[in-house]
Amino acid sequence: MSDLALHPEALVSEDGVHREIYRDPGVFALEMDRIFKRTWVFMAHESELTSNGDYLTSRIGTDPVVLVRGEDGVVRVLVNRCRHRAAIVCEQPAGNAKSFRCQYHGWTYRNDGQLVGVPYPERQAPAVRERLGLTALPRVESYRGLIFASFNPDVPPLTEHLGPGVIDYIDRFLDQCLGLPLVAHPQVHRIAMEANWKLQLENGMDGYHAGFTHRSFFDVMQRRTGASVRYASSLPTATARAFRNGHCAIDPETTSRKPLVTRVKTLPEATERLESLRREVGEDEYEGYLAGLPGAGINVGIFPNLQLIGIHIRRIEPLSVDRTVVSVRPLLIDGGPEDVNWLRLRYHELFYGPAGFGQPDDFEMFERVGTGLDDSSDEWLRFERGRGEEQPGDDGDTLLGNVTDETPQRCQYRQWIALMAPASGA
Amino acid sequence: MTEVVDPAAEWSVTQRCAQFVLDEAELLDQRRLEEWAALFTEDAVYWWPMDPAQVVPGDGLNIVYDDRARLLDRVSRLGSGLAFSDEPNSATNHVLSGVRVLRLEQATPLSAGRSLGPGEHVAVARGLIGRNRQGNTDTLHARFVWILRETGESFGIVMKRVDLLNARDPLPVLTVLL
Ligand code: FES
Ligand SMILES: [Fe+2]
Repeated sequence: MSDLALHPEALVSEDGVHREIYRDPGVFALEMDRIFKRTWVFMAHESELTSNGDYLTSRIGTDPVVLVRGEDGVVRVLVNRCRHRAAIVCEQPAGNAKSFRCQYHGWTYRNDGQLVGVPYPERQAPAVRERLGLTALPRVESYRGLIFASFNPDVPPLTEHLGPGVIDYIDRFLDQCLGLPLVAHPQVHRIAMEANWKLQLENGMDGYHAGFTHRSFFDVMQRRTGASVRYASSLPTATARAFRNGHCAIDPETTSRKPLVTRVKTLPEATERLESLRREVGEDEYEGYLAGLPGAGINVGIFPNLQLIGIHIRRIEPLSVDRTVVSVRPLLIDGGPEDVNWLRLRYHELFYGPAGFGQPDDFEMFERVGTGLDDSSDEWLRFERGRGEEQPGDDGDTLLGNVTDETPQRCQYRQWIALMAPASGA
Repeated sequence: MTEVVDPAAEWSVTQRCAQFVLDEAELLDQRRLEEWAALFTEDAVYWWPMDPAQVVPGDGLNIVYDDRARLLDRVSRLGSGLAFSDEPNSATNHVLSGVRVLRLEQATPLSAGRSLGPGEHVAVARGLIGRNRQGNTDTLHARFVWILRETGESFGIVMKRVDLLNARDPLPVLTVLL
């Protein structure tokens, strides 16, 4: 282990982090062990696994796993690794199966993990079937369709781990369109970057950058809508919130909701489709759908790998110290009017994905940070905005800052340190 | 009544379409983006799907789905100096295969599920696009489909579809026009 990894606490101060937190392979290996194996990790939305036998392959940290809904309807998370000699047992991104066969020597596992077939068993040590099922993660729980899993049997119940502060925000996000249930779109944008995963962790909860990194997007929208709107504001009503366990939110809603609706009107086919929606649902519901169409206007961050932003679920997938995949999966209204869901996809495509008008510029900044980190004359990155100015929220569970404060990032790194300590709870 | 096809006329349509799409690619590679955008018709769609089996542009989640207004926004963003993922600008090099022009009697997936209007043709090519930026050069692989509409002298682009070979994989940032 590198010296740095032996002392992770030396990489975080009260208002900054050391550059090696993004660069050191030993620190990354320790994060996979102490963060991604110790706490709850977001896996998928339950609408991605609707029928018994539905599965999808994924990772927890860097460990390959299969999420599968068993014949009993229970969602399990199985390590995607044959207990014989380690080949993955499922090579498809998603599908439906009653069992998984490792194609190397033919061991077959039921979709609850039980080993049920070993070719030529007479030469095999006894009780192999009982001993060598696929490793099932000890904990899988969900909150309103968001499925989390943990390698740690002692992690507290999911809702306790989340806590009431961030649960309020998750609820606001999930109730974004008239409180109607949401379903995950089967397609997902995935962007690969040569940068450390924590740059996305910080950036998804960064209310400071938008007006600068995304200026070209705001300019385009200003030309199209005639309204000059920037994201960040110093109004006290625009807040950044730190909750327990590294969870956080940014909430510029009071200043940004109306422009979101104005932007909807610039989408392809917007005029015809909004008119057809109005005819279909009537005036009152129309206003509700229109308000909810572009999402809740808040960013919610669940440490370490889930962010709820716009209309999408964002999952951060670390691959190595300097490689990360970020997936953004749009949510549609379950059974909602076709026009609403159609426009939601167009709204999402406008900003997100590898060729969107916004998200690629964030990735550019991550790469620019990566280049800047080559400098060793200044070893620290600063997250000091608003420190000491924050107010406690009235629930006792929250620290409240301005939307441009680095309240969320400080909160994330407090949790990072707590988990990276040699012996730690979850 | 069977339609009588004049092979010489067919061939000249193919040649004119091929010349047009090669000229179009040249505009991109010379970064004459406003001239490029002007090739698109009022009702145009510029489209990069993620699923090669998708027929209608609006039916799924796309990498790019631009109507003409959004296409002009895209070009103006790229020209603004503020599309940071393309600053400094990338340079591209389109290499197109031979262009096939298809006779389509009815709606097919290649015509985005619609029947061709009068004077419309479907052209298909495969391509490699080299891209250089900031000391890195990568290669994108794509199939292109165009619906071209006769404008007298030339054509307007009614649809340009770009199917990236790796469209379903995690992709690098693609602040670029193909
Ligand atoms: S590695 Fe799976 S059966 Fe041998
Ligand atoms: Fe951003």
